[in-house]
Amino acid sequence: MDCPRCHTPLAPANINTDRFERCPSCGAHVRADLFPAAFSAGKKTETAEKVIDGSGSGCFYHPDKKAVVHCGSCGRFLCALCDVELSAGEHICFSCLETGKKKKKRVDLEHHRTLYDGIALRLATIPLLIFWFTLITAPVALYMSIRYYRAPGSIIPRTRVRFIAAGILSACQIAGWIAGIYMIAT
Amino acid sequence: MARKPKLYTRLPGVTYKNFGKHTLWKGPDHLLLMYSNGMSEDYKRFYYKDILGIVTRKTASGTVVLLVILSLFLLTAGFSWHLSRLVDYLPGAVFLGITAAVFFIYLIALLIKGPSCECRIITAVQDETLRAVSLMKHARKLMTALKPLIVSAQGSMSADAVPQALETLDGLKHSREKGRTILKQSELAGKVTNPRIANMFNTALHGSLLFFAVTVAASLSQRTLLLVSLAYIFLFTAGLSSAGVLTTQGPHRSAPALKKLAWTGMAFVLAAFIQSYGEMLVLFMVKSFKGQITMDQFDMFRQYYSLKPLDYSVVTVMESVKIGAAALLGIPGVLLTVIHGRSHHESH
Ligand SMILES: [Zn+2]
Ligand SMILES: [Zn+2]
Ligand SMILES: [Zn+2]
Repeated sequence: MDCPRCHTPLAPANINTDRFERCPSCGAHVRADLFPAAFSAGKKTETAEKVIDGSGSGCFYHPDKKAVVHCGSCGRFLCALCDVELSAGEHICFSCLETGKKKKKRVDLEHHRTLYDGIALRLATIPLLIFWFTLITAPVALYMSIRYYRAPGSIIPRTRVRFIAAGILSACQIAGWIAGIYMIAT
Repeated sequence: MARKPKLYTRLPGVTYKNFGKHTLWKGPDHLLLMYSNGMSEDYKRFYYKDILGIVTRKTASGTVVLLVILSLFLLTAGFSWHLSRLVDYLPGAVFLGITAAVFFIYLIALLIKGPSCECRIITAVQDETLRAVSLMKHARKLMTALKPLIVSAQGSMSADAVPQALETLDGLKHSREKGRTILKQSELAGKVTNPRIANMFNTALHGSLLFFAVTVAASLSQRTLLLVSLAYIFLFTAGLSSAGVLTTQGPHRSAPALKKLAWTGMAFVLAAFIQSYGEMLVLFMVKSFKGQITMDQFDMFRQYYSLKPLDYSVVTVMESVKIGAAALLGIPGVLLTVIHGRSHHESH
């Protein structure tokens, strides 16, 4: 663990003090917190034990390696190499991990989400600045707010008020266009 | 009806960047880093049991921004006060006074925010900046909230284990750095497929920004249809080119700076378009107050381009700001593009 500014190694006395300490060589205010995992990280070398003389069950993927846990999803026996620990005490095999990622069954494996409510709301508001664009954007915004109303939105709690606002605004814009065209036609 | 249990609760720290924001969330067994721009979200997760250390440093950037805003405030306020004493420049003085007030509010906001910081989180395989934490007050609150979570997952650290842990971290850092250079080499080998296209977009972006500045400057005394149309064409080209730069610029030497310029260029183009449209609307309102009402947008545009900016101090200030900003972006942009192109040429 170095000083982020001058890269001088930090003194052990300046670590885990719960406050900002001065770096002795460059004077930067640095707070460093170190956790027990740093102590054990160097020692942990997981190797799979071999199944000797038929005692114990073998791994589904490597029959000659000793199984240590079973997959929480499909139940297959797994050796230390095949085991993926998702969260405390929850083990899963690699193939279940992949399918879970694809089907988005597991929220804690996702790394991207599209916020259709945000897109619809922007499509319903920003083009109003140069209103000709709304001829195209309003129907798209209305379609999006209906089509994706039930689709999973943000990972954090948020209401569907953006969908509703986008729907109402774009419907008003479409009504305005219809009225305008009707007035010009008559 | 039972509601879905909340998976994440908010942790201190927020940083606004590139029209979006970085935030931190407390999960059941992990810390969630989120970047959201309102249209999509990206996540990164750090499990409490995997976090080896967190290093936070107080930085000077907050103070630098404070000084810049302070000098801008003094400049605009002083100039506004000077103009207000002259008879013919009252609108200009009012405009500059409003600008000074905006800077003053920003200054107060910066003082409330306090000093800035940089926070990094270290695991066995990562050394990641927590972008959400850029203020000292957030860092303090975050550590108070986060430390118990990590301690409950790992137990607390005894002081005599610290030197051994530091040694381990050092070893991990070396293997990470080795891995990173290998990754970088393979990334560069795969990505430098279109440096010429990126260079072309960069030239188009900064060239058209400079041409935009020149045409706007030329139209100061009298706008003509040709000059105004040219300025809009250059502005539009600059907007498209900035999008081009952002999609094609590879990870190469001066690339980050060029990318930053492209973002700024895009923001400038948007602001300039909105400002021109607003100006047209104001003109329309002024004319309609005087009874010369026009509902025709083309007629509005005709009145807009036949305007003599030098007759209106507000318009002159606006146009000067646009010229200055375009030149300030375009000149370093052209220089960087040339240097970037040359350094790239040499490396092949
Ligand atoms: Zn230092
Ligand atoms: Zn499985
Ligand atoms: Zn196995």
